[in-house]
Amino acid sequence: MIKNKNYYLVLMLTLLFISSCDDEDIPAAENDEELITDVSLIFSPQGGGAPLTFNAIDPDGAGVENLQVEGDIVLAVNTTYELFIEMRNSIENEDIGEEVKEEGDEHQIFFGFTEDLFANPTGSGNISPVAGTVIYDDQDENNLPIGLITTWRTEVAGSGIFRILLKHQPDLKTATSTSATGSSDIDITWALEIQ
Amino acid sequence: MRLVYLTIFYLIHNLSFAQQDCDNVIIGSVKDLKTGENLPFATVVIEGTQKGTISDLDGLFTLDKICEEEVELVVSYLGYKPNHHHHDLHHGNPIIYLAPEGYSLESVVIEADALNDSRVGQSSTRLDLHNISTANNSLGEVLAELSGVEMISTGQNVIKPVIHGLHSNRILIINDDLRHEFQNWGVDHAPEIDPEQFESIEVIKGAATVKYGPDALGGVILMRPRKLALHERLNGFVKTSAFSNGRGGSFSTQLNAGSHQFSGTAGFSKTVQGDLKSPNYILTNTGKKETSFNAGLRYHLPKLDLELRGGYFAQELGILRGSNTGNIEDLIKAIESDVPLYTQGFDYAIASPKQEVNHTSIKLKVKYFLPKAWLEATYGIQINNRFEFDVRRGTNNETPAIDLSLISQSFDVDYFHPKIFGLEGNIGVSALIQDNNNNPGTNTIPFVPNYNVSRFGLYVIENLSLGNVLLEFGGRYDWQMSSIRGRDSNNDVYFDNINFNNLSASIGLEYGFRQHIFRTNIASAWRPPSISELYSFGRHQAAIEYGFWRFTETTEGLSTSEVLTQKNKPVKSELGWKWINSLSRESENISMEIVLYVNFIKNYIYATPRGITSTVRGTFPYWIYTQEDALFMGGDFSLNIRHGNHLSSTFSMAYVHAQNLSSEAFVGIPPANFKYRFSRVIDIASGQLTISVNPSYTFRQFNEPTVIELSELLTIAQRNEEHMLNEMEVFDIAKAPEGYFLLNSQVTYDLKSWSFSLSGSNVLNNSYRNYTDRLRYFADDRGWNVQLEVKFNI
Repeated sequence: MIKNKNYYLVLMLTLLFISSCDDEDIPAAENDEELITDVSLIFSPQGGGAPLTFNAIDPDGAGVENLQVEGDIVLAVNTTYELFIEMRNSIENEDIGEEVKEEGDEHQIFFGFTEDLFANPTGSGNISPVAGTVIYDDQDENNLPIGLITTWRTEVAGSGIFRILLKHQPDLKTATSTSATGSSDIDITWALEIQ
Repeated sequence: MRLVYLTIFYLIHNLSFAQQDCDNVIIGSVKDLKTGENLPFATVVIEGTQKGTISDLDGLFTLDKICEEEVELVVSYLGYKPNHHHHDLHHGNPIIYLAPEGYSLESVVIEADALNDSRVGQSSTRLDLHNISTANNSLGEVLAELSGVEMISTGQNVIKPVIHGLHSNRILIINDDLRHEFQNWGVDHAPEIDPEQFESIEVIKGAATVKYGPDALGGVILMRPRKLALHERLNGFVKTSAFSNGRGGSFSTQLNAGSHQFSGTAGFSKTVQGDLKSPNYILTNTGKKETSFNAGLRYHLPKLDLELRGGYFAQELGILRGSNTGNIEDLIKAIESDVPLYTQGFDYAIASPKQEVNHTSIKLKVKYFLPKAWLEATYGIQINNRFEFDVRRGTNNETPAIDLSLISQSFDVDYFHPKIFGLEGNIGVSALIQDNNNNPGTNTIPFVPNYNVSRFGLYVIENLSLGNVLLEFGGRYDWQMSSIRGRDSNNDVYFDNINFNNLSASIGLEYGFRQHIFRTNIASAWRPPSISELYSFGRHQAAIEYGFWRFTETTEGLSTSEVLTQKNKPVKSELGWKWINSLSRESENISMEIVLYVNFIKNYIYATPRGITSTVRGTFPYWIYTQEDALFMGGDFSLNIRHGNHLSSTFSMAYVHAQNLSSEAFVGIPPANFKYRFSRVIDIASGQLTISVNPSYTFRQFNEPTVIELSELLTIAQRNEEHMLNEMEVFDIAKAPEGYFLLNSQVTYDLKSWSFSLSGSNVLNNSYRNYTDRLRYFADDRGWNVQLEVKFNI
């Protein structure tokens, strides 16, 4: 009686054990929505003229390949530019800028540049420690700046650096939040020349 | 300690199995449950007969010429609650712990075979959970009470035990006969075990691969629930507590009952905690919620014993908001901030970053008694789900970035053979099947691939006793096969099948003389590389990590474009040899133990900083996995002095030194520490008041790796001087925190069935940071806490 019971028990367990052996399931392809591989600065001169595009690309994301900042930004003197920043995930062919715009209330782009490179804004930008302002042309639902569209006026020739910093500030973005708030989604520095 | 000695003593001299006719013998001992002291002159009677005896000066008793195979023992002693113990002669010798009258716990019995885990020469310590308040504490914290056991943590809620400097995949947790199978590879993955559900914990400090299988390089933690006892009326407890730090509370209950053939138990516990507080600020997002259930059933026949147990534990663990960072510059800001970033007012809500984990386990154990031998078979299934939430954009904030399911099934059979040529022991086989899957929908490339593991082991352990020397030797063969299916960063699929196998051995000796026992044990252990060490790829917080097979070294530097295999880049298993020696002494007023050990680990696997990469997000340091021989050595010391009937002092200290063979220290090795506990028992009314005070001091870790501050790292990156990082194998981003003093104290009043306790931890409200807390860079540890607990024993 006991022996029979044991026999069935062992059999049952063995079956349970074997039944779960084989599976060859491959993890589902995931769309990495956090990843940004391409960032483009598109400077459009006011009053017409061909827009100027400057790219920074990191095709392997978290891989070891360094970010490639393609070329230096070259702008003309005595010109007002509208800067549009495009950001994409080229692996998924996705427009991240669109998401940033939709969730504008938790994102802001900050700018840093060599002091007095521009005629307007003057100073060196709004990355902490802040020593200047930036002319923002877009707003989130709380009327706070986002920074996908900005305006820049050049007058005299000069050279220096131009840095953009996209901060993710969930529940943190306010009228007083700064570039020190939140975590960095984009932080790229270009060399810039005005001639 | 004494328990183990006595057990072994009995096993050597008096092992008695059922025999025909009237020549059965029961040898046992009687002790005080509270103090562990031997009780002479206790009365032991076999119920329904005239047969009886009295325990001798050492608390030992012998009943011989017994005809029955099963008897009912009644043990009584003036001033103590009597104990009824159903004794089956197939089982080991009983150690009967009598509870004093007025003490809230019931008397218990431990049978020798329950402790027959075959590890002669290993030092081990047992922690009785009766007298420890575990309501608000994780397993890691509870274990850190023991000398030689520390904890490594990620903040206040994610805590893992460390034995002699080793943790995670290098130690094993045996959760009620089953290897606790979880995502152990992550330092921030704590074991999903609720200490509330257990009666005692034993820590084996030697390498115990031979008995328990791979991974046991540093030691083994044995979690023991209350035994399912026969012949007991409904009993158990209900307890509830409230604590100030975190403004939390907990409730737990466990009920047991046993008849002639059946015994059952069921329990439940729940803890809720809000944001914790350091002495100077709230630790935002450090709340937790825990729920656990357990149930067990035992069916007993003279020759067969069946035990079915199941448990479920779910946790939601908040992680300090200010520790969530992006690139190096973000990290610098987070570290330099005096008050952690994003610190807000107290809240019970838990937001990202957080972990949600749940673990279900079911065990079926069958014991079959044969003449002078027995057979044990255990089947277990464990389902472990882990969700980790990071601070992410938009709706992804509510989507787990890590969503893993691990289903493990194990089947073990042990045969404890009759004595042959003076040898006693067992042979066993064990099998494990594991299925790990990434659940879809995380919107991020999985950190580890999907994989299946099959493992088989065969082992034998034998004991030989020669006078007062007990010798043990064992050997084991393990074979493991893993099949792996993952996706690289372009979502392209990769596959591999990898095999590992190993032969392990151990030899131990135990020598008793007068009041001393000397133990020595040399054991080899092994651990195949974990999936994350092989395949991890990507960013976690402020660091990027590449597993062995996710990077290639070329003349131009590192490349991470390909996924490699065991064929083109062989990775070896870790092989450890641990030699542990201990000397313990037991006398009327003093118990003492000194432990010394050396653990040499060949092919020790760790992550080493290799360079700095710039990404769209900014600059990040990256780490690669490497293998190099490592050495761990150190010692533990503990001393207990009983200054008379009601006063006692316990003093313990531990030190571990760890380095790789280039003499570099590793990050996060526990610093030396020093603990003292003074307790006094006062009889008040018909109850007992116990007052204890325990100061402890943790030293600064002086054996720390080179420190490269982050600002320096950023400069290195800006100047393209990354090669500087290649010259070292280990570095830390901040100096080890200063040593600190903590004072805890507790007052407990036991009255009949009630127990009231008021305890305070860090009562001086000292600000400190723990070197083995991975969030030490960001915030101080917990400030003072007062906890009130009421327990009713049924």
